Amino acid sequence: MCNKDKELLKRALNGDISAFEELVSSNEKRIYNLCLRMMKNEQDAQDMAQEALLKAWRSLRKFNLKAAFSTWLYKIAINTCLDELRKRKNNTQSIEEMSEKGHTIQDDKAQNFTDDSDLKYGITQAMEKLESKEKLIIVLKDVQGYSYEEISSILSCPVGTVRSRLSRSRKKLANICIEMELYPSTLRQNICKEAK
Amino acid sequence: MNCYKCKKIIDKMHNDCINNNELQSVLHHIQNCKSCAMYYSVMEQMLNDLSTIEEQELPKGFHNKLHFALQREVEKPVKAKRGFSTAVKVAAIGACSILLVTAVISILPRQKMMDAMPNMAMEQAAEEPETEGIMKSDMASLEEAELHESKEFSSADGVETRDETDNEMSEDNAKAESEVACGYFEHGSSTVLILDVENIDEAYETLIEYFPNPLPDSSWVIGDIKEPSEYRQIRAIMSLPEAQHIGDKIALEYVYDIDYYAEVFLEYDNYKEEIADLQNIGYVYIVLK
Repeated sequence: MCNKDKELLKRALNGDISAFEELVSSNEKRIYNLCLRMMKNEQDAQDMAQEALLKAWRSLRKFNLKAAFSTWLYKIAINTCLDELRKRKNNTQSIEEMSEKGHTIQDDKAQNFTDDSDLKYGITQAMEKLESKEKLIIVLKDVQGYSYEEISSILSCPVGTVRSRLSRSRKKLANICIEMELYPSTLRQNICKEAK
Repeated sequence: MNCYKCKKIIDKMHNDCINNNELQSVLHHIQNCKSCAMYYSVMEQMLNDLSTIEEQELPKGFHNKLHFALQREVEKPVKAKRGFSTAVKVAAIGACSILLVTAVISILPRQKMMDAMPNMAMEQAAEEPETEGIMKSDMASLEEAELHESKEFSSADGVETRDETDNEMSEDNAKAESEVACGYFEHGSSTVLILDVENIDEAYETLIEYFPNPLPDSSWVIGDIKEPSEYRQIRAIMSLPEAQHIGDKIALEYVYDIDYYAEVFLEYDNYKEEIADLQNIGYVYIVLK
Protein backbone atom coordinates (compact mmCIF):
# COMPACT_ATOMS: atom_id res chain seq x y z
CA MET A 1 0.00 0.00 0.00
CA CYS A 2 1.48 3.34 -1.02
CA ASN A 3 1.76 6.32 1.31
CA LYS A 4 -1.08 8.16 -0.39
CA ASP A 5 -3.41 5.20 0.11
CA LYS A 6 -2.29 4.87 3.73
CA GLU A 7 -3.17 8.51 4.27
CA LEU A 8 -6.56 7.99 2.60
CA LEU A 9 -7.17 4.92 4.74
CA LYS A 10 -6.32 6.86 7.88
CA ARG A 11 -8.77 9.59 6.91
CA ALA A 12 -11.43 7.02 6.01
CA LEU A 13 -10.98 5.36 9.38
CA ASN A 14 -11.77 8.72 10.95
CA GLY A 15 -15.06 8.79 9.06
CA ASP A 16 -14.02 10.74 5.95
CA ILE A 17 -16.31 9.45 3.20
CA SER A 18 -14.54 11.26 0.37
CA ALA A 19 -11.23 9.62 1.37
CA PHE A 20 -12.86 6.20 1.22
CA GLU A 21 -14.42 6.98 -2.16
CA GLU A 22 -11.03 8.00 -3.50
CA LEU A 23 -9.46 4.89 -2.04
CA VAL A 24 -11.88 2.53 -3.79
CA SER A 25 -12.23 4.53 -7.01
CA SER A 26 -9.56 2.57 -8.89
CA ASN A 27 -11.23 -0.76 -8.06
CA GLU A 28 -14.90 0.08 -8.49
CA LYS A 29 -15.11 -0.79 -12.16
CA ARG A 30 -13.47 -4.19 -11.77
CA ILE A 31 -15.61 -5.00 -8.77
CA TYR A 32 -18.73 -4.02 -10.68
CA ASN A 33 -17.70 -6.17 -13.65
CA LEU A 34 -16.94 -9.13 -11.41
CA CYS A 35 -20.40 -8.74 -9.85
CA LEU A 36 -21.91 -8.43 -13.32
CA ARG A 37 -20.40 -11.75 -14.42
CA MET A 38 -21.50 -13.40 -11.20
CA MET A 39 -25.00 -11.97 -10.94
CA LYS A 40 -25.95 -11.90 -14.64
CA ASN A 41 -27.77 -8.54 -14.70
CA GLU A 42 -26.79 -4.93 -14.26
CA GLN A 43 -29.17 -4.05 -11.46
CA ASP A 44 -28.07 -6.96 -9.26
CA ALA A 45 -24.43 -6.28 -10.12
CA GLN A 46 -24.81 -2.66 -9.07
CA ASP A 47 -26.52 -3.67 -5.82
CA MET A 48 -23.84 -6.23 -5.01
CA ALA A 49 -20.99 -3.84 -5.81
CA GLN A 50 -22.57 -1.19 -3.59
CA GLU A 51 -23.16 -3.71 -0.82
CA ALA A 52 -19.56 -4.92 -1.05
CA LEU A 53 -18.22 -1.37 -0.80
CA LEU A 54 -20.47 -0.65 2.16
CA LYS A 55 -19.25 -3.81 3.87
CA ALA A 56 -15.69 -2.66 3.22
CA TRP A 57 -16.50 0.71 4.80
CA ARG A 58 -18.02 -0.97 7.85
CA SER A 59 -15.09 -3.32 8.37
CA LEU A 60 -12.30 -0.96 7.40
CA ARG A 61 -10.74 -1.42 10.82
CA LYS A 62 -10.29 -5.11 10.12
CA PHE A 63 -8.15 -4.45 7.06
CA ASN A 64 -4.62 -5.76 7.47
CA LEU A 65 -2.13 -3.19 6.17
CA LYS A 66 0.20 -5.95 5.02
CA ALA A 67 -2.37 -7.17 2.48
CA ALA A 68 -3.27 -5.48 -0.80
CA PHE A 69 -6.34 -3.29 -0.47
CA SER A 70 -7.68 -4.33 -3.88
CA THR A 71 -7.42 -8.02 -2.94
CA TRP A 72 -9.30 -7.36 0.27
CA LEU A 73 -12.04 -5.50 -1.60
CA TYR A 74 -12.27 -8.34 -4.10
CA LYS A 75 -12.65 -10.90 -1.34
CA ILE A 76 -15.54 -8.92 0.11
CA ALA A 77 -17.20 -8.53 -3.29
CA ILE A 78 -16.86 -12.25 -4.02
CA ASN A 79 -18.29 -13.25 -0.67
CA THR A 80 -21.15 -10.80 -1.08
CA CYS A 81 -22.04 -12.28 -4.47
CA LEU A 82 -21.69 -15.88 -3.26
CA ASP A 83 -23.86 -15.15 -0.22
CA GLU A 84 -26.55 -13.63 -2.41
CA LEU A 85 -26.42 -16.48 -4.92
CA ARG A 86 -26.75 -19.03 -2.14
CA LYS A 87 -29.75 -17.18 -0.75
CA ARG A 88 -31.38 -17.20 -4.14
CA LYS A 89 -30.57 -20.80 -4.93
CA ASN A 90 -33.72 -22.06 -3.27
CA ASN A 91 -35.88 -19.51 -5.00
CA THR A 92 -34.64 -19.96 -8.55
CA GLN A 93 -37.27 -20.31 -11.22
CA SER A 94 -37.09 -23.15 -13.66
CA ILE A 95 -36.76 -22.36 -17.35
CA GLU A 96 -40.28 -23.70 -17.89
CA GLU A 97 -41.69 -21.30 -15.33
CA MET A 98 -39.84 -18.43 -16.91
CA SER A 99 -41.17 -19.37 -20.35
CA GLU A 100 -44.71 -19.58 -19.03
CA LYS A 101 -44.38 -16.04 -17.80
CA GLY A 102 -43.17 -14.97 -21.23
CA HIS A 103 -39.58 -14.51 -20.06
CA THR A 104 -37.26 -15.85 -22.74
CA ILE A 105 -33.53 -16.19 -23.07
CA GLN A 106 -33.69 -13.60 -25.85
CA ASP A 107 -35.04 -11.16 -23.27
CA ASP A 108 -32.01 -11.86 -21.14
CA LYS A 109 -29.78 -11.19 -24.09
CA ALA A 110 -31.40 -7.84 -24.72
CA GLN A 111 -31.40 -6.87 -21.06
CA ASN A 112 -28.19 -8.18 -19.65
CA PHE A 113 -25.43 -8.28 -22.21
CA THR A 114 -24.43 -5.69 -24.68
CA ASP A 115 -22.03 -8.00 -26.58
CA ASP A 116 -22.85 -8.01 -30.27
CA SER A 117 -21.21 -11.29 -31.05
CA ASP A 118 -23.42 -14.36 -30.79
CA LEU A 119 -20.42 -16.38 -29.77
CA LYS A 120 -19.70 -14.10 -26.87
CA TYR A 121 -23.33 -14.25 -25.95
CA GLY A 122 -23.11 -18.02 -26.21
CA ILE A 123 -20.09 -18.25 -23.95
CA THR A 124 -21.75 -16.08 -21.30
CA GLN A 125 -24.81 -18.33 -21.51
CA ALA A 126 -22.61 -21.42 -21.20
CA MET A 127 -20.98 -19.89 -18.11
CA GLU A 128 -24.36 -19.62 -16.47
CA LYS A 129 -24.51 -23.42 -16.43
CA LEU A 130 -21.47 -23.57 -14.16
CA GLU A 131 -21.57 -23.58 -10.38
CA SER A 132 -20.93 -20.11 -8.95
CA LYS A 133 -17.47 -21.04 -7.66
CA GLU A 134 -16.50 -22.54 -10.99
CA LYS A 135 -17.73 -19.45 -12.77
CA LEU A 136 -15.88 -17.25 -10.32
CA ILE A 137 -12.48 -18.78 -10.99
CA ILE A 138 -12.96 -18.56 -14.76
CA VAL A 139 -14.03 -14.92 -14.49
CA LEU A 140 -10.99 -14.09 -12.38
CA LYS A 141 -8.46 -15.84 -14.62
CA ASP A 142 -9.82 -15.94 -18.14
CA VAL A 143 -12.06 -12.87 -18.21
CA GLN A 144 -10.35 -10.44 -15.86
CA GLY A 145 -6.85 -11.79 -16.40
CA TYR A 146 -5.62 -12.09 -12.83
CA SER A 147 -2.47 -14.11 -12.24
CA TYR A 148 -2.54 -17.41 -10.35
CA GLU A 149 -0.81 -15.72 -7.43
CA GLU A 150 -3.37 -12.93 -7.28
CA ILE A 151 -6.27 -15.38 -7.43
CA SER A 152 -4.57 -17.47 -4.79
CA SER A 153 -4.53 -14.52 -2.42
CA ILE A 154 -8.07 -13.39 -3.34
CA LEU A 155 -9.51 -16.85 -2.71
CA SER A 156 -7.09 -17.63 0.15
CA CYS A 157 -5.99 -20.93 -1.30
CA PRO A 158 -2.66 -22.17 -2.70
CA VAL A 159 -1.66 -21.69 -6.32
CA GLY A 160 -1.78 -25.44 -6.91
CA THR A 161 -5.40 -25.53 -5.86
CA VAL A 162 -6.19 -22.57 -8.10
CA ARG A 163 -4.65 -24.39 -11.05
CA SER A 164 -6.48 -27.64 -10.44
CA ARG A 165 -9.80 -25.91 -9.77
CA LEU A 166 -9.42 -23.75 -12.87
CA SER A 167 -8.57 -26.77 -14.94
CA ARG A 168 -11.70 -28.62 -13.78
CA SER A 169 -13.90 -25.58 -14.38
CA ARG A 170 -12.54 -24.99 -17.88
CA LYS A 171 -13.04 -28.63 -18.78
CA LYS A 172 -16.63 -28.45 -17.61
CA LEU A 173 -17.23 -25.23 -19.55
CA ALA A 174 -15.68 -26.76 -22.67
CA ASN A 175 -18.03 -29.73 -22.39
CA ILE A 176 -20.98 -27.37 -21.99
CA CYS A 177 -19.86 -25.49 -25.11
CA ILE A 178 -19.67 -28.78 -27.02
CA GLU A 179 -23.15 -29.78 -25.81
CA MET A 180 -24.52 -26.39 -26.81
CA GLU A 181 -22.81 -26.71 -30.22
CA LEU A 182 -21.36 -23.27 -29.78
CA TYR A 183 -18.47 -23.60 -32.19
CA PRO A 184 -19.50 -25.94 -35.02
CA SER A 185 -18.19 -23.95 -37.98
CA THR A 186 -14.98 -22.93 -36.26
CA LEU A 187 -14.37 -26.48 -35.24
CA ARG A 188 -14.79 -27.82 -38.71
CA GLN A 189 -12.29 -25.27 -39.99
CA ASN A 190 -9.76 -26.15 -37.32
CA ILE A 191 -10.11 -29.86 -37.84
CA CYS A 192 -9.66 -29.39 -41.59
CA LYS A 193 -6.55 -27.29 -41.01
CA GLU A 194 -5.07 -29.90 -38.74
CA ALA A 195 -5.88 -32.67 -41.23
CA LYS A 196 -3.92 -30.84 -43.92
CA MET B 1 -0.23 -41.14 -26.46
CA ASN B 2 -3.83 -41.91 -25.54
CA CYS B 3 -6.75 -39.45 -25.52
CA TYR B 4 -6.84 -39.16 -21.73
CA LYS B 5 -3.21 -38.12 -21.55
CA CYS B 6 -3.61 -35.80 -24.51
CA LYS B 7 -6.53 -33.94 -22.91
CA LYS B 8 -4.60 -33.69 -19.67
CA ILE B 9 -1.68 -32.05 -21.47
CA ILE B 10 -4.08 -29.71 -23.30
CA ASP B 11 -5.35 -28.58 -19.88
CA LYS B 12 -1.78 -28.14 -18.70
CA MET B 13 -1.02 -26.16 -21.85
CA HIS B 14 -3.58 -23.57 -20.86
CA ASN B 15 -2.14 -23.41 -17.38
CA ASP B 16 1.11 -22.16 -18.98
CA CYS B 17 3.18 -25.12 -17.87
CA ILE B 18 4.05 -27.37 -20.79
CA ASN B 19 7.37 -28.26 -22.41
CA ASN B 20 8.15 -28.54 -26.12
CA ASN B 21 8.05 -32.34 -26.19
CA GLU B 22 4.58 -32.39 -24.71
CA LEU B 23 3.42 -29.76 -27.20
CA GLN B 24 4.74 -31.78 -30.13
CA SER B 25 3.14 -34.99 -28.92
CA VAL B 26 -0.23 -33.23 -28.49
CA LEU B 27 -0.07 -31.70 -31.96
CA HIS B 28 0.82 -35.08 -33.41
CA HIS B 29 -2.04 -36.79 -31.57
CA ILE B 30 -4.74 -34.31 -32.55
CA GLN B 31 -3.91 -34.72 -36.23
CA ASN B 32 -5.20 -38.27 -36.00
CA CYS B 33 -7.85 -37.95 -33.31
CA LYS B 34 -11.03 -36.00 -34.06
CA SER B 35 -12.25 -36.08 -30.49
CA CYS B 36 -9.07 -34.54 -29.07
CA ALA B 37 -8.85 -32.09 -31.95
CA MET B 38 -12.36 -30.96 -31.13
CA TYR B 39 -11.51 -30.63 -27.45
CA TYR B 40 -8.38 -28.65 -28.28
CA SER B 41 -10.21 -26.31 -30.66
CA VAL B 42 -13.11 -25.72 -28.32
CA MET B 43 -10.74 -24.95 -25.48
CA GLU B 44 -8.74 -22.52 -27.62
CA GLN B 45 -11.85 -20.79 -28.96
CA MET B 46 -13.49 -20.69 -25.56
CA LEU B 47 -10.48 -19.10 -23.85
CA ASN B 48 -10.18 -16.62 -26.68
CA ASP B 49 -13.84 -15.64 -26.34
CA LEU B 50 -13.54 -15.32 -22.59
CA SER B 51 -10.54 -13.04 -22.87
CA THR B 52 -12.36 -10.73 -25.28
CA ILE B 53 -15.39 -10.15 -23.07
CA GLU B 54 -15.19 -6.41 -22.54
CA GLU B 55 -15.47 -4.64 -19.23
CA GLN B 56 -18.59 -2.54 -18.89
CA GLU B 57 -18.65 1.00 -17.61
CA LEU B 58 -20.09 1.71 -14.19
CA PRO B 59 -23.82 2.48 -14.40
CA LYS B 60 -24.91 6.09 -14.20
CA GLY B 61 -25.51 7.29 -10.69
CA PHE B 62 -23.29 4.60 -9.16
CA HIS B 63 -21.13 7.12 -7.31
CA ASN B 64 -24.07 9.16 -6.07
CA LYS B 65 -25.83 6.08 -4.81
CA LEU B 66 -22.69 4.93 -3.01
CA HIS B 67 -22.13 8.37 -1.55
CA PHE B 68 -25.66 8.52 -0.09
CA ALA B 69 -25.38 4.98 1.25
CA LEU B 70 -22.09 5.87 2.95
CA GLN B 71 -23.60 9.02 4.41
CA ARG B 72 -26.48 6.98 5.82
CA GLU B 73 -23.92 4.64 7.38
CA VAL B 74 -22.09 7.52 9.03
CA GLU B 75 -25.30 9.07 10.34
CA LYS B 76 -26.61 5.75 11.60
CA PRO B 77 -26.25 5.35 15.40
CA VAL B 78 -23.56 2.86 16.35
CA LYS B 79 -25.09 -0.52 17.15
CA ALA B 80 -24.39 -2.13 20.46
CA LYS B 81 -21.85 -4.92 20.20
CA ARG B 82 -23.34 -8.40 19.99
CA GLY B 83 -22.78 -10.62 22.97
CA PHE B 84 -21.54 -9.60 26.39
CA SER B 85 -18.75 -7.14 27.01
CA THR B 86 -15.61 -8.27 28.82
CA ALA B 87 -16.66 -6.36 31.95
CA VAL B 88 -20.01 -8.19 32.06
CA LYS B 89 -18.27 -11.54 31.54
CA VAL B 90 -15.80 -10.81 34.37
CA ALA B 91 -18.66 -9.75 36.63
CA ALA B 92 -20.60 -12.93 35.81
CA ILE B 93 -17.57 -15.13 36.49
CA GLY B 94 -16.98 -13.27 39.76
CA ALA B 95 -20.59 -13.71 40.87
CA CYS B 96 -20.49 -17.44 40.05
CA SER B 97 -17.23 -17.84 41.99
CA ILE B 98 -18.70 -16.10 45.05
CA LEU B 99 -21.77 -18.34 44.91
CA LEU B 100 -19.61 -21.43 44.60
CA VAL B 101 -17.33 -20.40 47.50
CA THR B 102 -20.36 -19.60 49.66
CA ALA B 103 -21.87 -22.99 48.86
CA VAL B 104 -18.60 -24.79 49.71
CA ILE B 105 -18.15 -22.84 52.98
CA SER B 106 -21.68 -23.62 54.07
CA ILE B 107 -21.24 -27.33 53.37
CA LEU B 108 -17.72 -27.97 54.73
CA PRO B 109 -18.15 -27.24 58.49
CA ARG B 110 -21.36 -29.25 58.56
CA GLN B 111 -19.59 -32.13 56.84
CA LYS B 112 -16.62 -31.97 59.25
CA MET B 113 -18.92 -31.93 62.24
CA MET B 114 -20.88 -34.87 60.89
CA ASP B 115 -17.66 -36.82 60.32
CA ALA B 116 -16.40 -36.08 63.84
CA MET B 117 -19.66 -36.80 65.64
CA PRO B 118 -21.68 -39.26 63.63
CA ASN B 119 -24.31 -39.81 66.27
CA MET B 120 -24.80 -36.17 66.94
CA ALA B 121 -24.91 -35.50 63.25
CA MET B 122 -27.58 -38.11 62.76
CA GLU B 123 -29.65 -36.58 65.52
CA GLN B 124 -29.19 -33.15 64.03
CA ALA B 125 -30.12 -34.45 60.62
CA ALA B 126 -33.25 -36.00 62.08
CA GLU B 127 -34.11 -32.67 63.70
CA GLU B 128 -33.54 -30.66 60.52
CA PRO B 129 -34.79 -32.81 57.66
CA GLU B 130 -36.13 -29.88 55.64
CA THR B 131 -32.87 -27.86 55.69
CA GLU B 132 -30.85 -30.89 54.59
CA GLY B 133 -33.33 -31.60 51.83
CA ILE B 134 -33.07 -28.07 50.51
CA MET B 135 -29.29 -28.19 50.63
CA LYS B 136 -29.17 -31.48 48.73
CA SER B 137 -31.45 -30.21 46.03
CA ASP B 138 -29.39 -27.01 45.78
CA MET B 139 -26.24 -29.05 45.33
CA ALA B 140 -27.91 -31.29 42.77
CA SER B 141 -29.10 -28.31 40.74
CA LEU B 142 -25.65 -26.72 41.01
CA GLU B 143 -24.00 -29.90 39.78
CA GLU B 144 -26.56 -30.20 37.01
CA ALA B 145 -25.94 -26.60 35.98
CA GLU B 146 -22.18 -27.21 35.92
CA LEU B 147 -22.63 -30.37 33.87
CA HIS B 148 -24.90 -28.53 31.47
CA GLU B 149 -22.40 -25.69 31.21
CA SER B 150 -19.57 -28.07 30.34
CA LYS B 151 -21.68 -29.57 27.56
CA GLU B 152 -22.38 -26.23 25.99
CA PHE B 153 -20.06 -24.99 23.34
CA SER B 154 -19.99 -21.33 24.42
CA SER B 155 -21.15 -18.13 22.76
CA ALA B 156 -23.51 -15.55 24.11
CA ASP B 157 -26.13 -16.06 21.45
CA GLY B 158 -26.98 -19.05 19.34
CA VAL B 159 -25.80 -21.55 21.96
CA GLU B 160 -25.65 -25.05 20.60
CA THR B 161 -25.22 -28.30 22.46
CA ARG B 162 -22.37 -30.56 21.45
CA ASP B 163 -22.67 -34.13 20.24
CA GLU B 164 -22.48 -37.05 22.60
CA THR B 165 -19.12 -38.01 21.15
CA ASP B 166 -17.67 -34.79 22.49
CA ASN B 167 -18.48 -35.80 26.05
CA GLU B 168 -15.24 -37.76 25.98
CA MET B 169 -13.38 -34.50 25.86
CA SER B 170 -11.95 -33.45 29.18
CA GLU B 171 -13.67 -30.57 30.96
CA ASP B 172 -10.57 -28.37 30.72
CA ASN B 173 -10.25 -28.87 27.02
CA ALA B 174 -13.94 -28.24 26.50
CA LYS B 175 -13.68 -25.00 28.42
CA ALA B 176 -10.54 -23.97 26.55
CA GLU B 177 -12.15 -24.85 23.26
CA SER B 178 -15.14 -22.69 24.05
CA GLU B 179 -12.83 -19.76 24.71
CA VAL B 180 -10.81 -20.23 21.55
CA ALA B 181 -13.39 -21.10 18.98
CA CYS B 182 -15.41 -18.27 17.56
CA GLY B 183 -17.41 -20.52 15.27
CA TYR B 184 -17.94 -24.14 14.43
CA PHE B 185 -20.11 -26.37 12.36
CA GLU B 186 -20.57 -30.03 11.66
CA HIS B 187 -19.76 -31.57 8.33
CA GLY B 188 -20.65 -35.26 8.33
CA SER B 189 -18.54 -36.78 11.07
CA SER B 190 -16.21 -33.78 11.11
CA THR B 191 -16.33 -30.72 13.27
CA VAL B 192 -14.86 -27.58 11.79
CA LEU B 193 -13.62 -25.06 14.32
CA ILE B 194 -12.98 -21.50 13.30
CA LEU B 195 -10.27 -19.59 15.09
CA ASP B 196 -9.69 -15.89 14.97
CA VAL B 197 -6.00 -16.07 14.17
CA GLU B 198 -3.86 -14.51 11.49
CA ASN B 199 -1.51 -17.32 10.48
CA ILE B 200 -0.38 -20.88 11.07
CA ASP B 201 2.10 -19.90 13.80
CA GLU B 202 -0.54 -18.06 15.74
CA ALA B 203 -2.93 -20.99 15.31
CA TYR B 204 -0.27 -23.36 16.60
CA GLU B 205 0.51 -21.12 19.57
CA THR B 206 -3.18 -20.82 20.34
CA LEU B 207 -3.64 -24.56 20.25
CA ILE B 208 -0.67 -25.16 22.53
CA GLU B 209 -1.81 -22.42 24.90
CA TYR B 210 -5.39 -23.59 25.20
CA PHE B 211 -4.97 -27.30 24.66
CA PRO B 212 -1.74 -28.17 26.55
CA ASN B 213 -2.97 -31.70 27.07
CA PRO B 214 -4.09 -33.63 24.05
CA LEU B 215 -7.67 -34.82 24.00
CA PRO B 216 -8.17 -38.35 25.37
CA ASP B 217 -7.03 -40.90 22.80
CA SER B 218 -6.24 -38.20 20.33
CA SER B 219 -3.39 -36.21 18.89
CA TRP B 220 -3.12 -32.82 17.29
CA VAL B 221 -1.90 -32.83 13.75
CA ILE B 222 -1.32 -29.47 12.19
CA GLY B 223 -0.63 -29.27 8.50
CA ASP B 224 -0.15 -33.00 8.30
CA ILE B 225 -2.24 -35.95 7.24
CA LYS B 226 -2.33 -39.35 8.89
CA GLU B 227 -3.53 -42.70 7.72
CA PRO B 228 -7.00 -42.83 6.13
CA SER B 229 -8.25 -45.14 8.87
CA GLU B 230 -7.96 -42.24 11.30
CA TYR B 231 -10.23 -39.99 9.30
CA ARG B 232 -13.42 -40.74 11.10
CA GLN B 233 -13.03 -37.81 13.44
CA ILE B 234 -11.47 -34.92 11.63
CA ARG B 235 -11.34 -31.45 12.99
CA ALA B 236 -10.31 -28.62 10.73
CA ILE B 237 -9.29 -25.47 12.48
CA MET B 238 -8.87 -22.42 10.37
CA SER B 239 -8.12 -18.78 10.64
CA LEU B 240 -11.05 -16.59 9.81
CA PRO B 241 -10.91 -12.93 10.77
CA GLU B 242 -14.52 -12.42 9.69
CA ALA B 243 -15.90 -15.16 11.96
CA GLN B 244 -18.09 -13.75 14.66
CA HIS B 245 -20.30 -16.08 16.66
CA ILE B 246 -21.06 -19.73 16.93
CA GLY B 247 -23.95 -20.58 14.68
CA ASP B 248 -23.51 -17.35 12.76
CA LYS B 249 -24.28 -18.52 9.26
CA ILE B 250 -23.06 -15.36 7.64
CA ALA B 251 -19.65 -15.80 9.17
CA LEU B 252 -19.51 -19.42 8.07
CA GLU B 253 -20.22 -18.44 4.49
CA TYR B 254 -16.75 -16.94 4.40
CA VAL B 255 -15.21 -20.38 4.68
CA TYR B 256 -14.36 -20.74 1.07
CA ASP B 257 -14.79 -24.21 -0.30
CA ILE B 258 -14.87 -26.02 3.02
CA ASP B 259 -17.21 -28.61 1.55
CA TYR B 260 -14.63 -29.34 -1.07
CA TYR B 261 -11.90 -29.91 1.50
CA ALA B 262 -14.16 -32.02 3.67
CA GLU B 263 -14.84 -34.21 0.65
CA VAL B 264 -11.16 -34.35 -0.05
CA PHE B 265 -10.46 -35.73 3.40
CA LEU B 266 -13.19 -38.29 3.27
CA GLU B 267 -12.24 -39.56 -0.17
CA TYR B 268 -8.54 -39.62 0.49
CA ASP B 269 -7.64 -42.17 -2.15
CA ASN B 270 -9.17 -40.13 -4.93
CA TYR B 271 -7.58 -36.83 -3.96
CA LYS B 272 -4.01 -37.48 -2.96
CA GLU B 273 -2.71 -34.53 -4.98
CA GLU B 274 -5.14 -32.09 -3.44
CA ILE B 275 -4.24 -33.30 0.02
CA ALA B 276 -0.61 -32.59 -0.75
CA ASP B 277 -1.75 -29.07 -1.60
CA LEU B 278 -3.37 -28.72 1.79
CA GLN B 279 -0.01 -28.75 3.45
CA ASN B 280 0.72 -25.39 1.85
CA ILE B 281 -2.48 -23.77 2.98
CA GLY B 282 -1.99 -21.18 5.63
CA TYR B 283 -5.47 -21.18 6.99
CA VAL B 284 -6.55 -24.76 7.31
CA TYR B 285 -5.25 -26.80 10.18
CA ILE B 286 -6.21 -30.39 10.59
CA VAL B 287 -6.67 -32.08 13.91
CA LEU B 288 -7.34 -35.78 13.92
CA LYS B 289 -9.02 -37.34 16.87
